[in-house]
Amino acid sequence: MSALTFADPAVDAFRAELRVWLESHVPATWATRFDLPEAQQSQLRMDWEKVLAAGGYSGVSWPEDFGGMGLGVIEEVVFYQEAARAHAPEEANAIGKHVAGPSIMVNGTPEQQRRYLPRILDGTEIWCEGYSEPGAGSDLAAVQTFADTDGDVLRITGSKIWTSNAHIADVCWLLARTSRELPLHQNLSIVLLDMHQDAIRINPIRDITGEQHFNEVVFDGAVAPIENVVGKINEGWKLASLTGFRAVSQAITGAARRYLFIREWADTINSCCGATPALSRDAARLSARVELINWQMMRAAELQAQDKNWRRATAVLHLYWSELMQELTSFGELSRCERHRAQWRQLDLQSRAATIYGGTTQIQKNVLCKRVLGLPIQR
Amino acid sequence: MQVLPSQDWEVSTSEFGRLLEGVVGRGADQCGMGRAAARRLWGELVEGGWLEAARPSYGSPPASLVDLSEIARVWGQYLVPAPFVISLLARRWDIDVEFLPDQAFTVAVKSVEGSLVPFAGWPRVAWIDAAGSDAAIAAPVLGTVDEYAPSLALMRIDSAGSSLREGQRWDLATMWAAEALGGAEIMFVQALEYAKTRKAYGNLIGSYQAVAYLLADMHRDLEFGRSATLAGINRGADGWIALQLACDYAVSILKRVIQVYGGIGYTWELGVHWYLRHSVALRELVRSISTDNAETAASHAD
Repeated sequence: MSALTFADPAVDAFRAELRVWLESHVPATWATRFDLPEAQQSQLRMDWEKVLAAGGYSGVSWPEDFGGMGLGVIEEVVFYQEAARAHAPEEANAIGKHVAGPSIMVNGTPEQQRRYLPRILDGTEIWCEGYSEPGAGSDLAAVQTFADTDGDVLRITGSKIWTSNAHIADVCWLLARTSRELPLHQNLSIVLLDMHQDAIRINPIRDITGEQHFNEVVFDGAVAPIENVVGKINEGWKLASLTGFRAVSQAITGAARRYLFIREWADTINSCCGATPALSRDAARLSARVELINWQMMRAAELQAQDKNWRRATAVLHLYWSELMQELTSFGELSRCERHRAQWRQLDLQSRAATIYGGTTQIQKNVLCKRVLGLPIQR
Repeated sequence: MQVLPSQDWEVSTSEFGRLLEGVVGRGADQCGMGRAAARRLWGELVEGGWLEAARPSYGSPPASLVDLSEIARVWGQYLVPAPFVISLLARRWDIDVEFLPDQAFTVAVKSVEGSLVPFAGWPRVAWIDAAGSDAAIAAPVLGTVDEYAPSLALMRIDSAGSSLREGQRWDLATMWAAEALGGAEIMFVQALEYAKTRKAYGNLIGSYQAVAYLLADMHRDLEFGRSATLAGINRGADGWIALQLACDYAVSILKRVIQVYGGIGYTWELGVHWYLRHSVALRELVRSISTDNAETAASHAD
């Protein structure tokens, strides 16, 4: 873990160099993306992954041995602060860079590392996360997608739901049951699954915005080599449930990635939609609250060495940004700004998902109550 | 850019907390420290060198505002009716007058009606006014005692308020916001403990989602209140709003503390209301001292 602070000259130097790079690399088309169909917006994000890779900014906190910059959580936060400042595009490969990649680095075999990590970093392979199922959303351990051993392969049957980007993904970070006998939590594995198979059927799910960001994915005997299990077979729950350093660093980068566009929304409100006398005070207050995400990330990043305080600081991030997102879009929609009306209506619908995905607000609070506050919460 | 208190200061604030706890005790039911007791504590603070902690010449380097806000946070947990924070800052500002080591200071903060002066009745308290050259003058304070928050011993006077430099206003607002959050923090911790011991319908009240979620929200607001104080310290474009947000969080947390306690939280004797009054009064001071005085005095919901 980095022992740096945000006051360190090395961090300042990283920031300064990054700022210059972003100025000349952020595509102008991103600013007008709301005029484009979703498929083109998605392409812009994928193109951005390649631009980041070419500039060496694809794996800021990945170890140098795995092709990254070898920096830490502090520099990851700086990256997103500067990206927000530059109104840079969102990433297309968050699952690859922030979920699969870090886990493969720690738990994967050398072969898995050689095969998958370079292509995550250079943006040539996009990942999706196969977790939720119709009967296993909040209760993730109850998944019913099976990966049965058949010689030297696993045959996968079952289905996943709400799988974002499955329609563009090359690889799936799949949580599946690899034992039909062992008890709950001890029967799961993470399998690296090639998405380009006839035995995988992707059914787009239209969400309330009318767009198709996520999918139902049906596995009808899809195949993965048994060597594609990450870590030990039947010990996948600890990879999926995330504990320790990875959990808190993901909480920070998760907040950082949202800060990227939440900041942009707040800037739009301040400069345009909320610039009327009637709205400007509330707009300024919202803007200040957006900046608190930034400060909280920074505090959390510097608390890395203090386990209890780090957990306290990171456990509230998702709760905060998800509800703030909804407040912002609601404000935008209520502002009745002519120029951005269509955008806010779309975003206000889209932001309904913020308090649901990645753990609903209620689950986030349950986890906070149990693990941070030590409450005996039962129901 | 300093984000966390320096390690040396963390040690010092622990020591500071122990001193206060030894004298004041802990808990809302400890509220109502008498004036004589407050004066005795003042003597211990002077003797322990705590008032000098913010002097530019005290250490190398001098304590930053991030560090000092930690002192204010701990101070806020004990509701001692003494002008410690302002007196600490007076030494940080290195005002251009000679004074004794135990000299207490105050300021007059212009408010909606006249000005508010914390600890106006403290013996020999001097009134900081930056008009000219930071000369501190003994304040002939004549006004109306505001009984709402006795832990701040406020007096409302008919005056235009102290003339303070921008930096001094920032320092005061930051320290008061940190103090308000300190009070919210200790009350939250005690409410959390209460939820782990108090039973209703045969179960611990903390096992009910409705209560647990209330506490989860309070924890969230406490964390972001601390980040809001940090944002204020860094004096960004949103800095004044951030400090007001910090105070809003403190007040809001304290109101929910009462909710967690239920009926007993509503009693005078439990004493949570002293912390709430203290934070509400500090919030008024912070709002008044903010740049947009006219607006902030009349705005914001809890």
